[in-house]
Amino acid sequence: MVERGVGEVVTKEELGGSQIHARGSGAVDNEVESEEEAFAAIRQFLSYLPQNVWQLPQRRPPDDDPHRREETLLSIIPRNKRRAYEVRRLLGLILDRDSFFEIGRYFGRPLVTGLARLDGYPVGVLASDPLQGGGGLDAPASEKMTRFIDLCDTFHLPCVNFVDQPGFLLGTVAERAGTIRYGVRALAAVYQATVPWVSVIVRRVFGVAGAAHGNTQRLNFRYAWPSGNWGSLPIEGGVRAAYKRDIESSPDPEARRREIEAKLDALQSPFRTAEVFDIEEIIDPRDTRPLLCEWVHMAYDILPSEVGPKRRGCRP
Amino acid sequence: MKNGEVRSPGVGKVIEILVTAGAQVAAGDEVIVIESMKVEIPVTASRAGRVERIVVATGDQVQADDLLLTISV
Repeated sequence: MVERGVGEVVTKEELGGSQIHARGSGAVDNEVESEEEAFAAIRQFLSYLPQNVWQLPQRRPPDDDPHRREETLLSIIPRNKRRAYEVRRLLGLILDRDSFFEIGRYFGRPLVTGLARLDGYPVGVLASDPLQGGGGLDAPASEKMTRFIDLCDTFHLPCVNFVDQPGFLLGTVAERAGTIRYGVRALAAVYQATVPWVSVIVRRVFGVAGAAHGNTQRLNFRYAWPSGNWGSLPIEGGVRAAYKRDIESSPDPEARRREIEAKLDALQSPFRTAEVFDIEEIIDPRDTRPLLCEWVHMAYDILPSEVGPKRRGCRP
Repeated sequence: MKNGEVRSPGVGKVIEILVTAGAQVAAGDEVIVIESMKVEIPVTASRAGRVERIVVATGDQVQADDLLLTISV
């Protein structure tokens, strides 16, 4: 059929295998080695979901301490803000132990999505992965975000977003891929969702992509770690634009740029801008789990008023 | 990653090359650092062996999946 249609000679595996669909197209979310593992994965996936949209996701007897405070969280974000870190390790320290079920690991990799539990309650989890393009959303990651939020919204799964977002991916390849179109769809999905939301700002929030880190229309909390750093443009790129004339007219433009950057860097502190950025609270990273477990109870208190199909319909 | 090819995980700039041609590396060793969206991303050796050919230089612009270096057993 393929050969007749487009003249391409391919094997079944090359056309529909997991290599292309779990690692390229995004048509397949997860791949496993065997049929047994596939059934186990499906069972686990379904365990977070309600039977139908008229019901709520089911809490499991919690097997982890909601007050667990991990010391490692104090140092998990490197002091050097250019250094990446292992975001899945961060998730493991905060969510119920071994409860994270990742969806679509090898597609749209700057964004990690999956289902997990907090104090036994199912939640949807989003997190930026700085090891993948710095965590900047590209077209596939935006598509992944849209689909994942729709899944959570459809089945009433409250969303937890761990934010370290430098903005949409830049460059000609990203532009040609139509990143902004996919990105805006992701933004729309966030704003259309009516599930409770909490964002934990672990590091950066920049650009249009950063603006989509939460939905302020519903129960929406924002906690920031002291490593938080936010605005519309980061100092590194912003100084070049805002001080263009100043820098260009200097005898040593490079040195002048560095001088301005250093001056602003020294002034930069999340404590100065948390209020204007509407951050409810800057927290000790060790308190993240206790606070999220408190939030999930509130979230499930309001969920009964949300059951039923969503008005937005299905976004294929 | 086949044939000991180490490829770029994404778009960015090569900011550091941590090995030289002929060097012995173990699988998982950091060999190159790419900067993308102002974050340094370590690229690791796909397998143990000897660095055969370094295709990029510091300062080079790379795209996702561009070949960075090869490792022979």
